Amino acid sequence: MAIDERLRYAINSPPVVHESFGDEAVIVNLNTGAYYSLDKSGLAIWNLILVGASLGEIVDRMTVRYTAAREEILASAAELISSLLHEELVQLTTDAARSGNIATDATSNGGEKIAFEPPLLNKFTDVEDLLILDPIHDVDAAGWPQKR
Amino acid sequence: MAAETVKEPAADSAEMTRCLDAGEKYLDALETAFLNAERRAGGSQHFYSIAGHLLHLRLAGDALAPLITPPLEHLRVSPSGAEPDLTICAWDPETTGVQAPDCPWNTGGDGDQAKISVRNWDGVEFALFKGSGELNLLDRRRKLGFHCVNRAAAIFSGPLLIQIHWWLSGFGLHCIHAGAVGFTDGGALLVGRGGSGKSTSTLCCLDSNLGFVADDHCLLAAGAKPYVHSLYSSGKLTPAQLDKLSYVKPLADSPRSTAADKTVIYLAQSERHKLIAGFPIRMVLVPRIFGGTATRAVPIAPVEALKALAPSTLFQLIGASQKDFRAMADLVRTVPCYRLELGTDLPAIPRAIEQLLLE
Repeated sequence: MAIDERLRYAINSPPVVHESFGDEAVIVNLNTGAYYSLDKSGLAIWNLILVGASLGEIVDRMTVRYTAAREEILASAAELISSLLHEELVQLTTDAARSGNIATDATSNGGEKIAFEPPLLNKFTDVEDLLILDPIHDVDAAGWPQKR
Repeated sequence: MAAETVKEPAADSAEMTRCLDAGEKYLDALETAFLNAERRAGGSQHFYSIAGHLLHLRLAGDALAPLITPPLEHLRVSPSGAEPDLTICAWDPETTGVQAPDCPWNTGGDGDQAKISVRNWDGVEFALFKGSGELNLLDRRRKLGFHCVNRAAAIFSGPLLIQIHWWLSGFGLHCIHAGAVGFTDGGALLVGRGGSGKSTSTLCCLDSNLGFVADDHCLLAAGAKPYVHSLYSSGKLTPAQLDKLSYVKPLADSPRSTAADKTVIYLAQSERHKLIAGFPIRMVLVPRIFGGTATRAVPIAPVEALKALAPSTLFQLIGASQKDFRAMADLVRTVPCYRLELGTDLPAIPRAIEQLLLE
């Protein structure tokens, strides 16, 4: 099936929280008790998702930075995003308003291309037993019902 | 655990008004229930200064006092007439004969015993544990909280953690899962999941020069100069851990202090001289049990310390947020982080920590 490069994704917040360090991002799914890390090309893709890039824009940016062919990067990026969707870390969005930030994203290196390694989503479940209990009525941080 | 976006928001303003009215009536019903419990079973009042914020705890009956108050004993203050920053009204249905009122919303069927019902609205946070019936509510507008729990379900090593987390997060204080030992001018956080050696490391420091702030949960004030405040003066140990800690073992002489597979010790009476209210955080230590006798510290990347601290903290809180995660990330970015490779010579552990702090 053809990959739709126009699709955009957003972090599935508030249950997903994340922090990026220089060479690694840590992502926590507060609903499942699992946490994750991304580095190298995975971190670059994550940072592009954060600034609102579409899949096609992600791949375009990655081909500037990495030596691999566009098709290879596209397949790898699509596979990573599929994993992120499966783990409920990101969700599809129709919001294209943030795509103007792509020019300043963290993948800009301004130097020589570097070797591409397919991204790997590292999953950790060693503390999921600490997750208090499953929520059965979820609301957002603004409260329920929200006053207008 | 986070709160998700509501999937089916109220359709119109009339529906929202109805829901809000129901919420207000529920709050009134809770207050009435507590006052009934207090009238029927008597009550007691307790005041605590938690990281400089005044908590007024009203207990109906006498069943909960021995379960809730010992870990907070070191923070107790005399009533001064000052307006409390929060009043929590707590009672148990079993001895007071007063049940919590029914919620005005569906909290799930009887088959949802492993679930928790979570709601928030207009400054109010609510969580009901289906299995135990434990109810927690915080109304920020009225500076009022309610806690209804049966004695058997009371978490007496770290009571009121949910309300305290909701309450103090508004003051930039984050409940974190960490031990804390050191001196008044600076100390170390010890972080990690169960079995990592965190409690052993923290509690064996009682028999050393180091002061004690926390074994399991404490309050983080993040920022350029991160600070940790004491919350509970209790500790939790497995029988195997207790056997190894000869100094701590006599402190666990109360039969009521056994929770699940761990023994809870209270330090406010016998070890008051070891307790300190808090300190600037100088480093984060991630204990790991290693072979050999010696204990040594190895520098690690901040992100490794975050993985040891953040998930175990966030998964134990209701309503944990990006803000909490950011505070912990900022902490590990600000101070040096080490893996504390624990040897079998337990007295060497506090010596190693003290040496690090003195460097």
